[in-house]
Amino acid sequence: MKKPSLLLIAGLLLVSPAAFAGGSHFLFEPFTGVTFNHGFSMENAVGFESGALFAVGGKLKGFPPRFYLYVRASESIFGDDEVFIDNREAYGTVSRAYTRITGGLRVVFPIVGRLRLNLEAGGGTMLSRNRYGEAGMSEVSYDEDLTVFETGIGLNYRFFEWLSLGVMYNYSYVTDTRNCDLIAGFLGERQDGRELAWSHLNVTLGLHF
Amino acid sequence: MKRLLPLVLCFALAPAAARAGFNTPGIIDFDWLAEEVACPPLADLPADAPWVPAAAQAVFGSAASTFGAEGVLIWAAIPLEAPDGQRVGILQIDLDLAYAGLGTSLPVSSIRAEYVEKRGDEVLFFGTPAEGEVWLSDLIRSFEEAGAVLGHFEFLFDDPEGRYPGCRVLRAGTFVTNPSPEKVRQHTYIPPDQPGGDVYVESGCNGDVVIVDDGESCDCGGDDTSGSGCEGDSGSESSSCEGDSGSSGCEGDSGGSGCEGDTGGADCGGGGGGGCSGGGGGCEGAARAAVAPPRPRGGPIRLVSRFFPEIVVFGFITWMRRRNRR
Repeated sequence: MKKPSLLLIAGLLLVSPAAFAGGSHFLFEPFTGVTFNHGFSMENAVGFESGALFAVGGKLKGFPPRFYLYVRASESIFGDDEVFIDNREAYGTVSRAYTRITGGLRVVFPIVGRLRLNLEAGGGTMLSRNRYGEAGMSEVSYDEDLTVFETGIGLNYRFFEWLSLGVMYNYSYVTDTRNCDLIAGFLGERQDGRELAWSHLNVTLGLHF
Repeated sequence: MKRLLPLVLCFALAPAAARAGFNTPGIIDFDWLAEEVACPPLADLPADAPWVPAAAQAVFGSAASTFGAEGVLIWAAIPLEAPDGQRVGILQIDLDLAYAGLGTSLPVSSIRAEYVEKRGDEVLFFGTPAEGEVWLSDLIRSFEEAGAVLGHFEFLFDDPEGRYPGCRVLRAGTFVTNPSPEKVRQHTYIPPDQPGGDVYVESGCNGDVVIVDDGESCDCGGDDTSGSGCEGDSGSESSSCEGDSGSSGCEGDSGGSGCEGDTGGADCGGGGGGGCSGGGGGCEGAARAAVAPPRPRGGPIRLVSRFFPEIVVFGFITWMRRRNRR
């Protein structure tokens, strides 16, 4: 897996043409889209996400790709999910939301014309807010601070020197050693949140300055 | 660039939330009695009453405790055989372990509990403790989520609002994490007579439980084989993993009345409703525990690791400024 990725990056470095649109040092990129929850077998897998990325960087002389350090903040909401608990034929309501605060490196490769490829790698924190309710019992809620690593790939098209539109896919996973997720434990989920990860698919609006 | 610095620092230096001490599965068992009309005090309950042994897997979590990082919420859904058919008792015990001692009852202010009985979504009983007691036999705290506890309880639940008549009695109750404190001791070579206040555990690089007895954390990949350092994290085959399968959940219990069916593996199955059969017996004979509040950790490598993002950001900004000057 690593080798093809490295070859891809090396290939991109070799074949990247000079950028069609002028470069900028700062980028503010609001985005919105969907988040797919991996790691729970009985719960809602799709949530909505919105957030923004701020990046600062530039290019090296005679080297087409541009390098940006970014900080990203976003909110993913999975809403109230009614889960049927098979072994006791009851319903429970799970609500989860995540705040993602990450930072890392984005490398921008000019592909053709105003089209660019973005590759990202970074890390940060995922603040989770979890609630569980069931008929007759008090609600259980808890917050967690999860350390995550993320990678990403995306395309954007630079309509103007100051504006681009694009799509970005990020995959983030928890690097902490975890025993389990409490709610997943309550529900007796087969995938009990021990290995948590998310896929983020977002539409981006880039403001370059 | 100067204007950017506060923003970057704001994100980079945001404090991390405190970590909880428990996040683990375990087992809970007790003798259950339903009193549909009268509710005699716990001390007056007849031994020959129709007690029903009950047991199930439980989930132990500090994150969900109303007492914060020093607390633990124990949650279990227990299948019960009542005369009118099967029902499920959902038990929540929230304990404040900040100043918990061993062998003595926790103060009432350190205990919050709730018991609900259901058949499907129909609520058959709800109660809060009218009387009860919780005491610990063994406790191992953790900076992270590798804490272990063995404790006992008895409760008499009734509905303070009178919606559900009668009461429920949970007697001879035992809760124990998996791995149990005894198993953690075996895996980390904590001596059974370790004086209180000096032992904490945390997860190692591969989820191993490592002993931290001097306030310094282990560096992953080290080869510390000394008796007081970071045993179990030396990369050798002998290191023991959390949730190691094998022995029962109630180590140290030589009375044979423990929790059968503990398959180890550290499954988080509080909602599974099954698991530990038999029950009724306690998990006695645990060794002494270390009890004291956590101490701050240090070490230069951990410090560098903690501030690595900040160091990278500063380096990048410095580099960019130099380039701009040129």
